[in-house]
Amino acid sequence: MVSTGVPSLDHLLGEDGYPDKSSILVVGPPGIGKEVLGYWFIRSGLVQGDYCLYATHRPVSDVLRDMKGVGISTERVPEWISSSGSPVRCDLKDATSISFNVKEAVHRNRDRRVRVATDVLSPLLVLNPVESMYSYWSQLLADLKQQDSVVFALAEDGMHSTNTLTTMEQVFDGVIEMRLYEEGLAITPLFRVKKMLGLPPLHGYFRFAVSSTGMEVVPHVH
Amino acid sequence: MFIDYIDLGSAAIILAASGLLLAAIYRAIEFRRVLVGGVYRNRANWTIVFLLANLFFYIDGQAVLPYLSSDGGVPGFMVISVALVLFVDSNIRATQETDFFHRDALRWRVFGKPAVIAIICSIATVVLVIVAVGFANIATWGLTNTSPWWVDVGGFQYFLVLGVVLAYGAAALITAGRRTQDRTMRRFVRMLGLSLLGFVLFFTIWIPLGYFGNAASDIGSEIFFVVAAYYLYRAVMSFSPVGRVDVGAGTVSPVAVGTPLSQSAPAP
Repeated sequence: MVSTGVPSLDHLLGEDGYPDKSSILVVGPPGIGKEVLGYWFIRSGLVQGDYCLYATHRPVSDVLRDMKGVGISTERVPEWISSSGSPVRCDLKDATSISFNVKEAVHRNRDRRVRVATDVLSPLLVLNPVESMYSYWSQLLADLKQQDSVVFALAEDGMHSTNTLTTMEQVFDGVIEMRLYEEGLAITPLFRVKKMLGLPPLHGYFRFAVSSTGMEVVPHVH
Repeated sequence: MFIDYIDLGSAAIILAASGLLLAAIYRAIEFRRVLVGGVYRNRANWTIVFLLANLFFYIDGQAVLPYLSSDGGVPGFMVISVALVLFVDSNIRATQETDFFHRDALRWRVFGKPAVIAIICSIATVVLVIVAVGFANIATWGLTNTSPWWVDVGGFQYFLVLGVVLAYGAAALITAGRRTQDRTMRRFVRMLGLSLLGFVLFFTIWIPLGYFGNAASDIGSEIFFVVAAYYLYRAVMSFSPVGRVDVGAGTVSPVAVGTPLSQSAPAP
């Protein structure tokens, strides 16, 4: 098992976090904190000595600023594939090169445990037909699973049709949904574990809170 | 018993507009509390300021001695104008954030800073005019037939600068809104546009209605303020998609949580 970097989420997923050699998809609207889960996942890997790769359509400086904003130390950073600020560039119009670069970086570190976090799924889904993206991600994740790796991908809710998201969810071993819910006048951020390899369905909602000291996940009783 | 339906209607409109603005402020505070992204929190912050300014402006307009339209209300009016520009700026930045290519709509990132500087310079000019009016012993600094030309220019330049900046900001917001793939953001821009249309009608319709010169004409224009407040509320609710908890799935089974498949009881 691979720690999520969030102890309460590790507990929720069976004490140890995400399953080995798995791929996790986190779906949610912009600004809700999907990236923060990715940051803690990468941070945890860096602390444990795993090889960590962050493939992003954003500039490295933006990601580092976000990390600092949620209290994550940037003393140790992952290897980057990004739109700017990294030796290897992330070109959204060239999906093949992104896949090649990710596989190449992972293959170079085949003797270590590997963590890959990426936010390029949504842009690629917008720019390419869903059928080709289904094949693309199936192939990429299958290749990465040949090694001891866990892939963490983000998808933007509200940018794709329900059918598109449901199709992509099939490709991943675990799916976490983060959304805002209305309860009376209050608005509550909740998430659901829609599926997770090796775990029975986790019924119900979980409340999460992000602060400068970390992220907390607790069962939500309606 | 005599019932003044016009007064009753007027009171209902005041209550509706204030209620909608208060509800929007509360929702914006809630969104500010739960959103994590800095750009989105910043947008919520400036929206709260903008809504508070609107509420203040509206309530002030109902007062017997309104502050904002008095000579002493100039600083308040300018604070509201600056808040409006920063509100527009924060929305453009949030919209650009949801564009995967982070394109700078109409080069707002370049134009934004000079725009704020231009407004600050413009405000400084108005303040200088007010001070000069004091020294020149002119009865009023307002845009009247009797005021000297430099007082007129000092006042008009502010509205010109503010108008140009807001018009450019609106164009940048629409451009950025068209580029984003996020349906929620597009809905937000649409709602904000409808709200601004309501405000524009509120400000302009009272001129023709004013010929009637009675309370009914005020109601006619203020209905548009209610419409504008309603769409502002809808715009705030478009910060992020908000769902409702499925009560059937709203409780958590302590058996299922954190228990590996092999040790778990059958799923409920």
